[in-house]
Amino acid sequence: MRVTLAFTIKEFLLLLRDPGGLFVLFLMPVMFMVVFSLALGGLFEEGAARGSARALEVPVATGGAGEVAEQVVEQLDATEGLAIIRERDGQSLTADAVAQLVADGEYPVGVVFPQGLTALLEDPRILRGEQVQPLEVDVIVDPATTAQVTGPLEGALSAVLQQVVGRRLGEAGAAAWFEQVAAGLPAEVREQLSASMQQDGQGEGALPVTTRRRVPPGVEREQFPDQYQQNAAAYTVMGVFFIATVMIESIFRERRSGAMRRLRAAPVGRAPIVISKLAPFYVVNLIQIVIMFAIARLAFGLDLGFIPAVVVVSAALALVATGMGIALAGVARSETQGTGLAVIVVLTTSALGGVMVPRFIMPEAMQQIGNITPQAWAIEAYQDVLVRGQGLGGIWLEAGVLLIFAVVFTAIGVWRFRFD
Amino acid sequence: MLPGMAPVSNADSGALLRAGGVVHRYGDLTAVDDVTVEVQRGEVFGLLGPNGAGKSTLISICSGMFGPTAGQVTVGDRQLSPTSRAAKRRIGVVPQDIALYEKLSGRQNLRFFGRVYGLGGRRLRERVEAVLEVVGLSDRGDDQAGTYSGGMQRRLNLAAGLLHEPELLILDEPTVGVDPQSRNHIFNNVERLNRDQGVTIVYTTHYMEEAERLCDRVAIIDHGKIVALDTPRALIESLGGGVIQIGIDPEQREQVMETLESLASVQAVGPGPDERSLNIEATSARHALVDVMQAMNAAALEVETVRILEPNLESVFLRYTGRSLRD
Ligand SMILES: Nc1ncnc2c1ncn2[C@@H]1O[C@H](COP(=O)(O)OP(=O)(O)OP(=O)(O)O)[C@@H](O)[C@H]1O
Ligand SMILES: [Mg+2]
Repeated sequence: MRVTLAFTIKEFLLLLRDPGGLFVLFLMPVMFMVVFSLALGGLFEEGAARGSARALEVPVATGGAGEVAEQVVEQLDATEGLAIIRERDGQSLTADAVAQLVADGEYPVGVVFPQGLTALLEDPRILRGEQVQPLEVDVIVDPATTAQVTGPLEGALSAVLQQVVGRRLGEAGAAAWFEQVAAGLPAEVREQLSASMQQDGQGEGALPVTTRRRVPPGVEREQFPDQYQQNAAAYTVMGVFFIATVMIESIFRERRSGAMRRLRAAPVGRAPIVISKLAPFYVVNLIQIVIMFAIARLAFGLDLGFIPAVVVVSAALALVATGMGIALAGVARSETQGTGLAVIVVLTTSALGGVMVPRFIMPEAMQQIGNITPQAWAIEAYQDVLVRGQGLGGIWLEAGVLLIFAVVFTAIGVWRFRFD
Repeated sequence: MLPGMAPVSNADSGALLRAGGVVHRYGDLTAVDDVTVEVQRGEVFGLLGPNGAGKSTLISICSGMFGPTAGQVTVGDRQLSPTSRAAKRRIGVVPQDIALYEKLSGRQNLRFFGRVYGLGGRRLRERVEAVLEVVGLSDRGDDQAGTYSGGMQRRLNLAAGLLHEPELLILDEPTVGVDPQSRNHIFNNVERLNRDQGVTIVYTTHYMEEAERLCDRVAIIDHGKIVALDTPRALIESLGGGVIQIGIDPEQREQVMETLESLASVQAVGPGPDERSLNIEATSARHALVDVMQAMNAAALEVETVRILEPNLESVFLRYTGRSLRD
């Protein structure tokens, strides 16, 4: 115990002697969080709209909404960047099914058309221009999604509704008006009028159909994060994994240092040395996480939700990160190879895990691959707490999976740990 | 048995460190080749050998840094292995390379290594100050070890091996590449530890005068084998009136030996360190040299090199290894 403590103190002292390296570790994720939030916010939106990104898949329920809804869906489907999903396992989607898919995080956004939409548009009161209680098309949004993702859908939906409903009202209204007003006109004139009306047959003023944003039932918080809040979790997760580079440096430097020769002659086992290569970096990880969330809280107003849940996720995440560090050090043959490998592994798994690009806009296969990265589980866990407002009950699965990652990585690292 | 080699006693009366049939291979290279040696309690045991002779390898095995390919090492009655903590605690090690954390201060280094050897609390503080005092670094103790001069680093390196007051101190060229002042300092420290505290010392060096002055017994090691082992005095006396080492054409070897053995001033002619050389023992090397050269000339035999080995440890070394101790 005393020896383990001695090693750990020594490691801390050495870390403090090289604050530059640590500063990078703290600064990098903050820079990523800020720069990517600012720089890529607009770009991302455009990209989606241009269809350069993969089409956003949107589950839609039209049950009982009739012909108008069908037309709207058809046009949405034809819109670049959107792909409408109407059935699953051969069954048409119901309103509940769509809400459930979004609640499960399978899709970021879904649409549910109200019952009797077509019938409403034939209501004589509307044709007379009277106000009626408008019908609402529900846009069901995962709170963990950003406006960058839902924006294009909502824009397209409004535009298409405007067009389809407006035209239909225009047609129907004109027909009714004709019946009343133009009954006495000669047939020739009537036809001319009718043709010209059809050309600009857009209804004007408030439509009796609106869209409404909703979170899926069962998801508590009615709060939509902006990209700063969104990226705080993602870049915190990526940032902690870069501890691997510092750990590899420390382990190889120790191996190369003459001090190692004396240690091999000393009456110590592997355990204190291995622990001293984990514990200080674990603490550094925790400090890193505190700094990231503090900045996100103070600068961007992030609501941290249920703090104990954040702590649990962070504790598990830091275990995975230090585990990955010691595993990579065990696999690498040299320091240069090790740090290079660490950068590649961390960036690749972070990308797959949804740090740079949310996973739900990735192809299905990529999403599956992403599931084997700890980053995916950590981000999911943070979003459960920070965005969806869940407590310990909401994160135990993710935290458990993170612990499994931590145990596997650390086991590989300890097994492969070499003194020389 | 090799010339001048002390018989290995079977009784473990005074043996503190014992290596039995130790072999160590790095891949195909046999760095230590079947070494059996005992270090008696309270003695200063010197290990002399040219570069690459296997000194550091042997000494590393004897301090438990790694296990030998074959053979075994015991300290007292305990077998030494990389995992035997009780045996390791009895040994203090001063590796050939500086074994310190350059980024930590002298005191931080010592505190760390002290804790590693099980010291703590007041005793740790006392020992740290005591060894700093011994090596004369008390006033530089809080500076980073990396900022020390080479000699100061060597002194701190020594201090770290003394912290836990080991019975057996193993030093691998502790004075190499050091200014005379630090060298003296280290040398005096080692001498005093042995004389005043009875610490058993294993000491490898390139410096003949250190070995002559300090060591009770000296082993000469070459190509991983111990080629001579005795007190410095006995080793020197084995040279008699001195040895002439000549370099010859290996094809003329038999002829040369016949020619020289017939000379009156020559006592014996034996093989040198390699097949291109012969050692000629004489009651007086200087007088015999003239006869040797004349006889060789008369027989039209080639003499490629000639060396006179004065009766000192350097000559003993040359005689067995054909190489000078200094690089
Ligand atoms: N880690 C190693 N891997 C491979 N070969 C090694 C290793 N360490 C030493 N050797 C080789 O083993 C032989 C003995 O080396 P060693 O360091 O024991 O010699 P030495 O007598 O201490 O030499 P020096 O006086 O230069 O310190 C040398 O030929 C060396 O090249
Ligand atoms: Mg050596």
